Amino acid sequence: MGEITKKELVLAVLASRSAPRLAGVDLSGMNLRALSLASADLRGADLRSADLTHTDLRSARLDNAQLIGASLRFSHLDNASFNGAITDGCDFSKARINGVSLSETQRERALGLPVDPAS
Amino acid sequence: MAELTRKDLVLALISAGEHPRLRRVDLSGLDMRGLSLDGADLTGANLQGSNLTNAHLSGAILQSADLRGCILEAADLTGANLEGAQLNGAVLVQTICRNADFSESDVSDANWKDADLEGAHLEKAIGFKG
Repeated sequence: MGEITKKELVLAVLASRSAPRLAGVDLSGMNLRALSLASADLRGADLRSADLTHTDLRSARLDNAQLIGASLRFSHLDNASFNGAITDGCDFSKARINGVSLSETQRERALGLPVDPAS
Repeated sequence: MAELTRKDLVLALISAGEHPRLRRVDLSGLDMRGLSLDGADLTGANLQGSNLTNAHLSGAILQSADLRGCILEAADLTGANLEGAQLNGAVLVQTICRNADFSESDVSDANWKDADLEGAHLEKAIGFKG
């Protein structure tokens, strides 16, 4: 379970005047639904089984993050980066993913992604 | 012993802005794995024995910081300023040190295995065995 509470996270993000620094933080299993985490630095963060439904993650940095079993349903991911992120069982259903680049392996292991017309 | 816990630091960093101010803070022995400290001012900070594995420290100011025995494995120190820092016995295995400045720093017995030292300024470092 996460190393901070949702209340602590919400208050800290609220006080943030720039991109929230959440790299390497354990947020596993947390309910992060509909939070505004645009441009957040989530590199290497532990987001296993986190609920990020409807969350604003535009331009967020999710490189090397662990997203196993996370829900990104209906999330806003335009221009977010996922280099090296682990997406096994991560649900991207109805997410907005303009400008998002996922590797073949990431796509294969994720759920709910539209079929890539190029493949 | 560190004056902050990891949780204190995590919460402070979330809203810290572009240059977290951590000058002379005692962070010794602290678990700081993976944290985002890019651009942080850690001048004179005590990081002795801390664990900064996979931490992001690009552009950080670590002048005169105490990093003795610190674990910096696979950390990113790109462009960091470590002038006069103490790095005796530090672990810099697979650490990215591109364009980092180690002038006048003491790097005796540091482990640089597979570190990326491209453009790093080590010519004036003390005890460097390249």
